[in-house]
Amino acid sequence: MMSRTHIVLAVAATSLVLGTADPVVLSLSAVSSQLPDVDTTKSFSGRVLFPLSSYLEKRFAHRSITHSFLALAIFAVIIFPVTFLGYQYWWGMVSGYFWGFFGDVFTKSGVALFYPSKVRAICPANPRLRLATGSSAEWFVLFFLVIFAILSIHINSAGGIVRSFNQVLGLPSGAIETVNEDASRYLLKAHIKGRNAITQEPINKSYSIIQPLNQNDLLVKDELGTTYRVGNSQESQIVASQMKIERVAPITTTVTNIFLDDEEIYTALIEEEKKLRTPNSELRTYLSGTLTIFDADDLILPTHIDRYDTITLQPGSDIAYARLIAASPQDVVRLLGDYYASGNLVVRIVEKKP
Amino acid sequence: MPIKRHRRKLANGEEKIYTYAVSADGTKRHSLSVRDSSDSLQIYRAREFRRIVAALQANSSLLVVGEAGCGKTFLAQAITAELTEMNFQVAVTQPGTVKQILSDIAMQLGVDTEDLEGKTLSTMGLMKEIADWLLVNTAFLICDNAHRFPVSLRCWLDQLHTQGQPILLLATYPPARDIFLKLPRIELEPMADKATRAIMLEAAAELNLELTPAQLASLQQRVGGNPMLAKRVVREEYLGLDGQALDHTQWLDITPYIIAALMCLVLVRFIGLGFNNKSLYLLGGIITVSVAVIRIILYSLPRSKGRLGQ
Repeated sequence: MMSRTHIVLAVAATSLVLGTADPVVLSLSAVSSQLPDVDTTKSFSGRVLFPLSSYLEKRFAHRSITHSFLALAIFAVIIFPVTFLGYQYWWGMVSGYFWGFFGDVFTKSGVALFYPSKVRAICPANPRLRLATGSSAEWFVLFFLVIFAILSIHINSAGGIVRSFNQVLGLPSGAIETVNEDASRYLLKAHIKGRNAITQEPINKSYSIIQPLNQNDLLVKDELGTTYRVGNSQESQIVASQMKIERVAPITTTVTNIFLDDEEIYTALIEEEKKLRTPNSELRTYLSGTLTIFDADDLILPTHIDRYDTITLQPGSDIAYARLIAASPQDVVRLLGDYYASGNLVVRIVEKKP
Repeated sequence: MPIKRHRRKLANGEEKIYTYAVSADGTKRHSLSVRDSSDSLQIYRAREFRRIVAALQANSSLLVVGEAGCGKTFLAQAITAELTEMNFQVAVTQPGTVKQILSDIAMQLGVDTEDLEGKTLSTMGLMKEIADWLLVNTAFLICDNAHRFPVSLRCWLDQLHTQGQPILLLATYPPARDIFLKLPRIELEPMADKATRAIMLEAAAELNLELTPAQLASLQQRVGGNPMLAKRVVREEYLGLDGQALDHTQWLDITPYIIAALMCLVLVRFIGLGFNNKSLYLLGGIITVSVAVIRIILYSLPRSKGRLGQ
């Protein structure tokens, strides 16, 4: 095989096997893929490491001692200090070396993989179907390997193969998986195809994601701030057939607790807000928790069938229980501000990283 | 009988090495072998050589097995020379019909090939005559290319073996039958890199061909420890042929292992199933189908034929 084929094969395979797009790791594997060919002075690495290559080629057949698992093990031990810089670099080099000689299995004369045994490993068995170095067939293979390498690096830089696969299919369960992974680090947007569960209108629109509700459903809001439950469960307002998740911006999330003990909700929230308010946080502060509201005889909350109610009320005699799920402070103040309540609220503030 | 070797240049420019057994007074000489001068005079299989000579001297028969070109004939010649030098009588078989082979053996041993009436003995007669002669005299039988021997000859050798005659059989992958099963066996392993490299250098020197170590290392890939191939690749290089054939037997088709490794990826599917991850399950399904397709394609590729050039 030509040295360029070795490089491309090593880069493609390393990126796929290690699931990385790190340029340092991939360059290390490309360099390492040239090292097995140090057993001939004709190769690039042989010319660079001339004394070693001259020594080896006088004693051993080409593609024997340096193209073996034995040599791989020795190489792995020698470069072990690289792990001080990071295990991924070491893995990259080992993988590069391995693919550097394993690719030769597909060439006419094969590789003595199990040196000191002289057995040469080949694939496929028919020598006519194996590659001759520099033949047009090899250029053809090289072409496909280049495409493969680009694809693999692209997929890995976009977050890995499973994620890319989810993205392509737009499977709702896969999308929720992605949200679970990313929600704490990125502001996410979902492009949803589906239908409105009540009106049966088709929907093909982008929503920003607030949080996953459970394994099947997401809580999203549109540009007007209306919240919807999206997914496949019965309570969903939007039944999704396809969801594609997009990263909008990296974020930081702050979580605090508010504890109310028979306090006016308005005062408690305003005080808290003064402490927490930052220019970016306006629309992305979410309150969750359960409050016991006193003197709630006259408290009635509107319920909507076409949207997700972030505040729900369970009335009782004189007192009521309000359950908040990712409710906005504005809504809480508007609907419950005048009441006295006890309970615990979790405040999640999402801010774009500057 | 002492041995003499001469290197002679023939009229056509070829050089040959003649090996003779010469009687003590120099009146009788008996040709043992004629070899191309490119043939090495050094025995690279010294261990096997010593072992075989010792075994024969201990009155024990041996079978030497190895791939074509691994140096059996060379070893047989060296052993013949060695035994002759030790003043033993040695009969070496040449390729031919059963009758030719038997007459040849009889001639070398000095057994009468005619009956009392002056008629040439039949095959059966020759067999009996030689067997009887060997019962009372000490001589070694060296049979090269024994895998080509017909059943009748093998049965006769079997009979000789039973009567205690030391025989050296050399054969290329003989059938696991009769005499081949009975004899203790030495398998000739592929030669060390150092030895094949030396043989290649000798062959190159013979052709007045200068090869760099890089070229030699590259050519040596196709040798696989086989001295005949070591010479052949040098001649191919001399003629400017880029021989690609992998004629030695030291190779292993790893297609099944590659497929087995790929099959392990099918596990992804079950991991997806176990963790209730639909996309992993689908991905695993795609991998399963891809591996199956690769497998079908790899196995449906035309097989390499046993015949040359296919």
